[in-house]
Amino acid sequence: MSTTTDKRLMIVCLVLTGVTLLSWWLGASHGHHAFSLNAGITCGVILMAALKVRVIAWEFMELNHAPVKMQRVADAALTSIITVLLVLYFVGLAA
Amino acid sequence: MTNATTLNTERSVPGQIDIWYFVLIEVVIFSSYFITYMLYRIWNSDMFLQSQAHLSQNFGALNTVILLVSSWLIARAVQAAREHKYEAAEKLVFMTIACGVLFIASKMFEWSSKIGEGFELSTNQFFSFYYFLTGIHVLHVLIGFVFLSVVIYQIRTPHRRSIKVIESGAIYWHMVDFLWVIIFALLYVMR
Repeated sequence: MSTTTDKRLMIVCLVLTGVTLLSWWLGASHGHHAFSLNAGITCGVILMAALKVRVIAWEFMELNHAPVKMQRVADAALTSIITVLLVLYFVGLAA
Repeated sequence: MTNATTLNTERSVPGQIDIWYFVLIEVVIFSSYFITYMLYRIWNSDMFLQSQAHLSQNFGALNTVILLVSSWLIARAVQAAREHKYEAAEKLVFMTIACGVLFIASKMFEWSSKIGEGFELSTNQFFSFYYFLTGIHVLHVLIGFVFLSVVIYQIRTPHRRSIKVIESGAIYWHMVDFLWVIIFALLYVMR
């Protein structure tokens, strides 16, 4: 395997694992407030999930080499679903 | 314009185009599940939060790391196949399957411990979503084994070998990974 590609895939995996551990820490380290509504944690966690999905799609699924149109469809789909999830969460908070 | 056209001709669709349509359909289906989950959560946020407290954050994070590692392994397998290192590629696909088996085993353990604690599918809406979303995802992991078996068959059969089919199998597996990333955020960590 080419060293450059192997190194790049390893770095991607480490970054994704690091972001996962960060969101796990965010969800687990708030003592007795752990299971109360918290917009900061929710936003952080959902945006980190979006980041991870994009990195998986771009680096592992190799959308970084795909035609621009395909990349735009993927970005639009990811942005739409994350926006809808966040909007629904804030609608719930306001209700 | 000329630059953009040149750039586009250098680019190519990874795997077969059919697998991307399949991924798109799966994304639409899972998005509808996620939106339904959020709507039910809005209507009963206290109950969802209280129920969520009974899930193991550690298990959720461990599951995520297992699938991320499996994605890394299958990405390396594709790279090895491209470089005609088929023995290494086959070994990496088997390691990917091992991660999938580990994921399912940890899910089974988690489900049995939740059932042991009295949290079943019918306990409340949160646990209905929990078993439904994690269950449908495990089903996708099992289907992933079929895709990975095809990848192994392709690697082992020189006259049938197609890098596009190998890439398609890997793309399916990565989809299983990113769907779990969102399930982990929504079920285990968000507040």
